[in-house]
Amino acid sequence: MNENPADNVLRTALAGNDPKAVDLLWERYAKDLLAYLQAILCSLHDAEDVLQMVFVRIVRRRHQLAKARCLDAYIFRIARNEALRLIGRRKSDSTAKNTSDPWLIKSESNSDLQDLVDSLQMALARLPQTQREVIVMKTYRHKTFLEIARLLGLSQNTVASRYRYGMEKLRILLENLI
Amino acid sequence: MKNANQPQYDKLEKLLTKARLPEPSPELKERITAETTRIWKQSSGPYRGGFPLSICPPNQGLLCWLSGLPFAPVATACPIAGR
Repeated sequence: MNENPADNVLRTALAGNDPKAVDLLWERYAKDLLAYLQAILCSLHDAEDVLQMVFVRIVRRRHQLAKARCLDAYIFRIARNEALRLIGRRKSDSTAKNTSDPWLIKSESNSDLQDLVDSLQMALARLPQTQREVIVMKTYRHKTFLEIARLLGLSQNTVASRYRYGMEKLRILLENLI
Repeated sequence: MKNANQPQYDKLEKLLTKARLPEPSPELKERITAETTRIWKQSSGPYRGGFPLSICPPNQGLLCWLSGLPFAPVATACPIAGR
């Protein structure tokens, strides 16, 4: 797998213990990680909290990260683990909140769209998490299957089939809106 | 095929893009970069990767190393606690 040229800059900053790496990490990963975490957690608030935990964990493991075979997959694995840890804590905590907060917003300032956005959010939330991850990364972050495969450490075929299965389910769930 | 457009989903994708995901706010960036930079500076010290040899007394570390060599005599085997 080809190395992203920006990887070397980031690896050098991480290995050289240069705090500027925090900004590099933010510029490169924050948007994609927040989208990915929202896809897993179906909550902007939770995704923001977990994003902070992810960055803290990255900083604590920066020396291992500098030597990681694939930076993207390593970082997205940390994000996934942190998100699943939160889900696990929520399951074991009976007092935890059950309601989901909004995580999709209207793409245009048209108030009529709010019902549609709510329907999309509910339909996406009903998909299996692995299918939702791929659909969110492709639709809202405009990633190709190859890029998603690289980020998530999966094969392109797996990514493509998760997308297809997810879209078929969405088609049924949103039948009356298409 | 893997990266090809899938026209059967065009309508559905168009519908999905009536919504979008919020991007990280400047406040979130400020909060997270400040916190991580603080942790970075706190934990900045010379990194010694690999096995922490400092926890082994020198003689014991040497014995352990010697016992790993193919020609090592049995007598140099690593001492086991309690024996």
